[in-house]
Amino acid sequence: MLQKGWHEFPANFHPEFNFHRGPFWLRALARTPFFERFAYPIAMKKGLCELWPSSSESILDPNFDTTGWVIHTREKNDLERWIEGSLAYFGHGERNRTQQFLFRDRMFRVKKNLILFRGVLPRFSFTSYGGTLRRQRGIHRANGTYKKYKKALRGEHFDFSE
Amino acid sequence: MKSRALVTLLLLSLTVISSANAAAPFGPPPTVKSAFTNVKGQLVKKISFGRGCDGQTDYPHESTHFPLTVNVEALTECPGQEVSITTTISRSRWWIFNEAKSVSAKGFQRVKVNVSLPCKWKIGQPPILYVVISHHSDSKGAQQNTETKARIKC
Repeated sequence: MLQKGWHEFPANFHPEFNFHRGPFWLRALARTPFFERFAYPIAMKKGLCELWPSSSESILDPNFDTTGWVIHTREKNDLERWIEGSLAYFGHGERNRTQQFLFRDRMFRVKKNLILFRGVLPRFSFTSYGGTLRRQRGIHRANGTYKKYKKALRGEHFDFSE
Repeated sequence: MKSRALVTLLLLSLTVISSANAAAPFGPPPTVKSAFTNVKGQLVKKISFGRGCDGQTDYPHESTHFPLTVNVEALTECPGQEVSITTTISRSRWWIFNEAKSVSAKGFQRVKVNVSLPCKWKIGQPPILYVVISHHSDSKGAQQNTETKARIKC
């Protein structure tokens, strides 16, 4: 059985589920294996599901049922992209030695055209939402920006250029 | 007289507090108006990203130029410096047995790569998860990673 928000979303748009803004029990449900799929329709009713265009040329399919989705017409700005981990700036000396040792991204050359990062290896997440969070945290830990990431989620101001 | 005014003030403040509490369940849940929204609202225009050196990975999407391939672009830029990028796109399958492809490039100031994988999705299947991870570096030794993911019917 297809659950709304779990399998259905339009092409050229990517969904984002803001369970962190919802109640604790919903976050717990979203992180429970198998039963996670029932958290998505509830999140839609609570207005926690967003659709972002993948590019400026993305056009929403007119046949797509938009009820429950918060649909954005513009692409994510730099801060929003930085938070999700798709944009990073070069900073020097943000990590201490222990962090560098623990979170340096190691690359494994498997074949001529295949390089695996530690980041694409499985991270033992049993739910989709858990996997998303784990990946975001992993990227920010690797980049040495984890504290800033947590600040951004809390809504605190910080200077990127520092 | 003074005590009467004090009692009135106390009663008034109690009424305001209780009405605020009572109104809460009918309005939007307070958790929805999170800090995340504040950040989004306050910083709409482009913020200063260090020295103008950054790396980014776009979202994987079905190519319009080459049908039946999933395509992604990634970019590293830093004025006046040698930069390099390695991007890997992987298609999630059962546990660790992902299909993946990598592309690396080096260049001066700005380097862009394009990675693609052939489609494997079949009608009736759920969308396939594609994960793209890029490793950006500059000549001064700074390194950053970026990552995107998308579920695509491809």
